Amino acid sequence: MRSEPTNGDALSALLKTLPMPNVQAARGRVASRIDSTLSRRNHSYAWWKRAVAVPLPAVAAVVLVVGSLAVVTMSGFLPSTDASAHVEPDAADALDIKVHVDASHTADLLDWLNEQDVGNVTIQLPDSATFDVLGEPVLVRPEELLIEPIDPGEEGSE
Amino acid sequence: MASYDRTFFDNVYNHAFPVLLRVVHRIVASREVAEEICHDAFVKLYERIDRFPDVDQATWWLLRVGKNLAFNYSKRQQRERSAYERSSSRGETVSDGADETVMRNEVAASVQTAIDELPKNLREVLVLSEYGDLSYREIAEILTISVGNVKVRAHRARARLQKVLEERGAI
Repeated sequence: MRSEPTNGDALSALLKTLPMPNVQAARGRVASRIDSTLSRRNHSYAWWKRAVAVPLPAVAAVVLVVGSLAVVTMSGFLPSTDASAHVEPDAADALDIKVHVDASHTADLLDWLNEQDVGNVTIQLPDSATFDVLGEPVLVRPEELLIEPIDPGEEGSE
Repeated sequence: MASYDRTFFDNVYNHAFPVLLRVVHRIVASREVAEEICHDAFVKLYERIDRFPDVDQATWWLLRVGKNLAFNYSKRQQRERSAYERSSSRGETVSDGADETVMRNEVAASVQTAIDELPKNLREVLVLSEYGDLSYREIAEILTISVGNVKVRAHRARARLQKVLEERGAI
């Protein structure tokens, strides 16, 4: 396989005259040094530098969840434009707005709602809220419904 | 390390160590340094043992790393030592008083010097070929060059070495 120049055998023989290491003795020495190095390294290896095998489906699931959370979170911080602030009346039915109002400002909220030209408004009260019954229940048509603020002075008079 | 990896590492060690030691030893001409470089190369191999599909690939990578470490060491030594210091401290101990032994050591020193004076691209092919007993295909894999290029370099290395040794009366 090798190309030999003239007098190549003499050269090869000469190259073999160089002293060679004792492989068997060196093999044992180097092996024990490697074992020593590796065991020392394994003990001193910081846990946060160790590689951990993670199944690909688990990684994909985590990425999906984190991505979804990021989208939801970021959508709350996006600046509103004029186009998005304006809500068409037809789309108002599908609008779901949560507004936390202090009980002392309930009247203001009702006033404001009365001034809006938005069809039906559903107010979800806290589950823990309890109310006393005032007066007699009556049936009214939706178009006749007018919510009037309660005069604080009249509360508890009946 | 998983038991499979440990078995694989041991297989590579048993297969590659003799070749690596002979090649590195011929480049650095020192038993202690050669063993140190072998140790470093195998530790590097251990750190990435899962990247090699088979023993051959791991062996070629190991020889490449070991050869480079040895040449780096040799280069540093050449920079740090004068020519006289290199020749006097190199390699094996000289002279036990017998003329034949002295002559043999002188010839060996002459050959070693001639090898060291070869350009690196010829020297590495010669060392891998003559002292690693590697085929041209294996040398091509280690050096990441073509087999044809290995043949050309091997031929040039031997021709140049022979000329130098003839000029110095070693042949």
